[in-house]
Amino acid sequence: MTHEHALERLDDFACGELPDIERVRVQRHVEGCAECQAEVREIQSLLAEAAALPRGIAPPRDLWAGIAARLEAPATPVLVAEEPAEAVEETKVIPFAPVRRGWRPPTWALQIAAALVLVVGSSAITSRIVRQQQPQPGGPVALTPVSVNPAAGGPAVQGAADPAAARPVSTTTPAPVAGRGGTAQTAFAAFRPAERSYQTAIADLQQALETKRGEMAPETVETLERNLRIIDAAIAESRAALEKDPNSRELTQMLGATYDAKVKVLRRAVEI
Amino acid sequence: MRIRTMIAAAALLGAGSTAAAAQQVNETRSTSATGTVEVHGISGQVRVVGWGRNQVQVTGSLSGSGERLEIEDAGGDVVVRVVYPRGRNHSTGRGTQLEVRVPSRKDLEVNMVSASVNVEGVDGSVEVHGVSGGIRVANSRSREITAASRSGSVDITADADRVEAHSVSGTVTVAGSVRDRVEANSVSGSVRVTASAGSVEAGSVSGSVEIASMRGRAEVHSVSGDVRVTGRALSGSFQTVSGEIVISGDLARGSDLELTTHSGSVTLQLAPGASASLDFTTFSGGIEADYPGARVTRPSRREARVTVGGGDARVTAQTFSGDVRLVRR
Repeated sequence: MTHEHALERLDDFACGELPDIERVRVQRHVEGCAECQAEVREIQSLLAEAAALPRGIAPPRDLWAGIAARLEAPATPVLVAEEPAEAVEETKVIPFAPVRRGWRPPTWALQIAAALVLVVGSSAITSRIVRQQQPQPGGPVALTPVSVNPAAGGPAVQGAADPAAARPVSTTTPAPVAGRGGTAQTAFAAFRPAERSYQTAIADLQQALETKRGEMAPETVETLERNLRIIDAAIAESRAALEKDPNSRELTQMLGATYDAKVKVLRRAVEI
Repeated sequence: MRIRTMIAAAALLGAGSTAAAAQQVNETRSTSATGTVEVHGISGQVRVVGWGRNQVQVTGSLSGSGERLEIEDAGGDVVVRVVYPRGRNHSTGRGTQLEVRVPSRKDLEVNMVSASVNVEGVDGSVEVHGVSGGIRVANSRSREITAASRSGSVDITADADRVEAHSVSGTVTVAGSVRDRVEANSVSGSVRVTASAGSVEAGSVSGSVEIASMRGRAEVHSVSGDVRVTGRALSGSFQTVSGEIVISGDLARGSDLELTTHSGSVTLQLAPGASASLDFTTFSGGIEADYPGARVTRPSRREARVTVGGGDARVTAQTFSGDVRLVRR
C-alpha cells in the first residue's frame, strides 16, 4: 500500500470502519510510517473531542428565559411576564445529526452548529411572537399607550402620561397588548431577544467565515461581501421603519426574514 | 474537507510538468456486482460508465511523465487511482483521459481536482467532488446523487431518490425525476431545477434560481438573484432580499405559498380558475391585483386581501419596498 493510499484511508482506519483486509494493510503501513502515526493520533484526538461534545446545545438560559416565559403565557396575546419564568424544561435541544462515517467535525462546523441552534430557536420564536401579536376576537385590547423605555434597550411599552402617546402608532397594525400587571410591549420590543440571538449567531458565523476567507476565490469573497451589504442595508431599512412604527408585525416579520437570509448566506459561505 | 484533502493530496503527489508522450492504459479487474468504486485523480477528463459485467475496466491515456494507474480491490470495494510522480504539481498536455467502466449497481465515488467528470448509467449511489472541473451525471437510476464543484458547473439528469448538487461559482442544473428531494445551491452561479421532485430546496446568493415543472413543496432563496418558479401544484416558501420573485402556474389545492422579499418585486401569475386566498403586505411598495373575478379588500394602503375562486390555497406575499402584483397567466 502506498503512503498516499494509506493517508486516504486514515479517517476510516482511525474510526475502525475499514474492512478487515484493508485495515490490516493500513495497519502495516502505519506501523512503519511516522507521518501516518501522527495523523492517526490527531484523528483520534479529534474524535475524542467530538465524542465529548454534548448531544445537543441548549440556547443560553438568559436568552431563553424571557422568551420562554412569553411563550408560556396564555393563548391570548400576553407578551410580557412580570418575572422570568423557569424555562429550562421548555428549552428545545436540537440533536446533532449522527456522525458520518469517517467524518471529522472541523472547528467551523461546531461554530455553525452552535450558531444555528440559536437561530432555529429564534426563528421559531419570532414567528410565534408575531403570531401571538395578531388580534384575536375577544382577546384583551390595549389600553396603555406607547412610550420608550430605554432601560429595557428598546421601546418597551408601559403606561405614559403624555396623552399624545395614546394615538395609534399605525392604522395597519394591532395596538400594543396588555400583559399581566397591565404591561405590554411592541412587536419590535418582543422581537429584540430574537434579534440578539440572530446577531450572536451572525457574529459566530462571521468569525467562522473569517478563518476560511483565505481559502476562497477573490470573486467569491467579493460576491459574498456585496450581497451581505445588500442584506445589511435591508436590515437597516427595516429597523429604521420599525423605530417609527414599532408595533408593526409585518415589519417585524420582514426584519426576521432578512436576518434569516443573512444567516443562510453566511452558513452557505462557511460550508464552502 | 474533502476538497481540502484533495488539494493536499494533489500537492503531496504532484503531477508532471514536463511534456511527455501519453501512456495508454487498458486494465480490467473482476469484482463483485455491489460494493463501491472510487476514482481519484487530479486533472484531465474522466468518464465513468455503468455496465452489466462484474468487472472494472479502465481505458484511456495518462499524460506520461511517470504517472501510473493503480487499481485495488478490497472485498469488492475497488479503488482506481492515478498516481502522480512526487514533486510535480500538475499534469502535462491534456492530462489524464480515462474511461472507467463499472458494474452498474456499484456505489461510485469520484474525487478530482481540475478534471471534468462525466458519469453515465451508474445505478448505485453516486458522489462526485471536484474543484474546478465540470461535473455531469446522466442516465443514472441512483438512490442518491451528490455532486459538488467549486468553480465548475454541475449538471445532473437522473431518475433518483435524492439529489444534492452544489457549486460555488458554477451553474447548477438538475433534471429528470427525483422521488424524494432535490437540494441545489450555488453562490454566484445560477441554479435551475427542472426535475420533477417530491420537494426542492434551492438557492443562490447572487445567481438566479429557476424551478420549472414544480409538483412538490419548494424552499427557494436568493439574495440579489431573481427567483422564477413555474409548476402545476405550487407550494412552498420563496425568499429574496433584492431579487425579483415571479411565480407562475397553478396552486396545489389547500397549499400555502409564502413569498418574501425586501426590495424585489413579487409577481404571481395564476392560471385561470385558481382558488386562493391571498394576503399582500408591503411597507412602501405598490399592490396590484388584476385577476378576473378577484375580490379585493384594502384594509390600508399597505395591505390587500384578495380572494379568487373558493379561496382554497393560501398565499402570503410580503415586501418592504417591492411591488406586489397578481395577474392571470
